[in-house]
Amino acid sequence: MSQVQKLESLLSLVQRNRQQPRAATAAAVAPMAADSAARRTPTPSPLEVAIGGAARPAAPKPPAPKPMAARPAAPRPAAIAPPRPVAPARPTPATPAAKAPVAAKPVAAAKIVAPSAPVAASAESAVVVEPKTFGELLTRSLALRPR
Amino acid sequence: MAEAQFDPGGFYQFDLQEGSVRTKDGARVLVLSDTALAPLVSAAVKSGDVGALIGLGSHLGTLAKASLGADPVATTPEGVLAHASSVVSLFGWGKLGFERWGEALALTVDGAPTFGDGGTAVGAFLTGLLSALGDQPADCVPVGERFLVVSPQAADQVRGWAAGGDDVPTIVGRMGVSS
Repeated sequence: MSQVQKLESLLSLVQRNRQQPRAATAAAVAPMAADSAARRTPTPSPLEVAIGGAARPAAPKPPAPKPMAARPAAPRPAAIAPPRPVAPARPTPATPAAKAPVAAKPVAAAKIVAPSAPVAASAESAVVVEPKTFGELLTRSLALRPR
Repeated sequence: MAEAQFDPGGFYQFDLQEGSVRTKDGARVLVLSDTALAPLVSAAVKSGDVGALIGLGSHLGTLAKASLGADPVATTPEGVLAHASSVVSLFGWGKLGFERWGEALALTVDGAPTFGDGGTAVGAFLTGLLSALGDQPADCVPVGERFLVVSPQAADQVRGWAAGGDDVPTIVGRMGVSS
């Protein structure tokens, strides 16, 4: 069939439809309804429920989604970013004079306690001379030996 | 003779940028709680290794000498005690005191940290301190609440007497100047 013939038959078809639209519609619906009733089963299909009992051609399925090609993972940033300084860095001078947790006054305990409890049974202890220096005090103590 | 008073100002230098604490002489120190230090000291005492404690005492003795600004040997006992006691206090080891029992020198430390070791750790610490101050080896043997200053040659005997329960007067009474 040539292109011209195809066009002519198409035009005639259109004209016929314009002249008998209702009949055509009715004729088209009737077999469908009959067909639908014949196919009806005790449990309505989901399609029938959706369109109120009248079957309708199923909508074309959307194209199946293409599986996403696995993309290479982008390099992730380091888990912990280096902290950014909040304030401009200022040199922190070493704290010069930390207030010492002790009273600055002269140590009252600097007096040497010489307990009266005596060691003084021996003759040499009776003539103990007050040591004038720490060196003397230490040397005397270190000079003691078990008898 | 007027003796220099202890000046605690600037004893510690806190460097917040470096995150460190140093003493006047530049030595780095760590601030520890006694609950953290006690097990370490106890373990050292149990293993017989008190070298670190002697070293700490020696360091403090050196600091006290520097603070004194004179030779401790030629300084009055009161003057040495003032500086030594202050340095020991700044390190949190208690309040140092001197006692004279006849010819013997005994040390006391009020408020010393307790390590449950019968004074062995504090004795080692004082041994380092006294040896540095006096520029000669000395041993501080715990006897009750005190620490008797004796020569290393006499230390074992004194330690034995102290372990037997003898007090300071008894021990000193058994000792004399060697000729």
